[in-house]
Amino acid sequence: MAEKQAPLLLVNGSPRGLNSNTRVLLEALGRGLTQAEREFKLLYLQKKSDRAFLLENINEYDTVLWGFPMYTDAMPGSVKAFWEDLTETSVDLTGKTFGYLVQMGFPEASQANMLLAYLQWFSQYVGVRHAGILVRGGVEGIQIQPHWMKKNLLTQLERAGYELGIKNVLDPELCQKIAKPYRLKWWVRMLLTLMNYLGLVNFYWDKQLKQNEVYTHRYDTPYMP
Amino acid sequence: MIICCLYLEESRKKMEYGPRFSQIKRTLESLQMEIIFVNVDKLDFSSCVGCFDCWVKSPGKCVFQDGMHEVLGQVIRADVLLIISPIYDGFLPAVMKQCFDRMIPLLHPYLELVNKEVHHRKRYPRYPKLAMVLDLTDEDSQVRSFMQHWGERLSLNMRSRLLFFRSFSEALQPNEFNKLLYTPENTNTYG
Repeated sequence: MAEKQAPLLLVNGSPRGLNSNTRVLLEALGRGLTQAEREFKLLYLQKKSDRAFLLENINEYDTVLWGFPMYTDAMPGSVKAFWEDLTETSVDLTGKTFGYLVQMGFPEASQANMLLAYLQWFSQYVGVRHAGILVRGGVEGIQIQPHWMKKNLLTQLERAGYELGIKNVLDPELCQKIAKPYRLKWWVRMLLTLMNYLGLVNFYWDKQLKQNEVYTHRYDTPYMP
Repeated sequence: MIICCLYLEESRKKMEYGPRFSQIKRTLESLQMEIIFVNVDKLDFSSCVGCFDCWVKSPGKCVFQDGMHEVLGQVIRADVLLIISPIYDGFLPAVMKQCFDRMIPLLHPYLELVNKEVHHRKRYPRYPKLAMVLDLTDEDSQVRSFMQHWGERLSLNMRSRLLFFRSFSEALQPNEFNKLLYTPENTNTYG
């Protein structure tokens, strides 16, 4: 095995914290890191103590992987808030490596294009080495999915974690595989239109609306002037 | 014409922002329009926690009882949603982004295809057009491109469009504002 790498930080930036879909993905990466015998620490930005730990101890780690959901076509405001704290403190980031994991409910990874361009720019702006970006769509609901549905994704993430552990980069080929579907093919869109017509696309939401006994209120417009 | 203007009056990064903003605000006040000014720095609201209760528990309304309720009412009533903001580290300041994260109750959880992409459905029959005036400098061409792209994405989410996108360095006289608001640049129509 290659020379032992310094410990790494996996930072979960999801506002949902422990209940997040981001956690499922980061934990898969973590399993890969363990297989590569790479030490790591998992932190939650949602926890005040973890934010303080990060600001104080980031110097002890040479690599940070930031994982978060896409909110309104960018990083959640809370992640941006932490990054502002990071750039406004006297933490020296030179020589460090940043990687990112972006997940979202929309099925196609291409929806994160602007965010990806920004993250690449941000790495350069704060003066760190850019390890790459993992993007994955269709993640909302992953926690209630049966294992066979997510098995392939989790295996790929474990592999990406293993590669990250050894080479300290997110393998571009794996990133490309994990990002699929990048766009929806014409026949998928046709199928989706048909399923939407049959009421099968919004089943995930309908189920919850019915459980909460507000299904009949689903089209409410409380702010209508 | 009703304008809902979300703004920050100071920048933590640039001293010149404050006076420049005041100048733009005076220009806006001189227009014969109803303008609701919302100082996002002084707005009392919490950050979105991603619970989706606004989609599945109290349809269309966030469970947090805070200043965002009034803002969302103003946004839906407005013809134009105008953002005036500094830029921190190449993007909107966190507080401004947190304010937009809290706008998801205005959309519906249901999904549909728009421009061959999956998007959330509209909850309201109409949404305001978006306009952005940001403190960008000439050398930030990449940042300008992310921000404009982000504005276009946000307008697409609301099935509206980006009416105009200006940086502080481009002069904005009262008649120019009038012209921008009334004769839209037809570059980003989503219908």
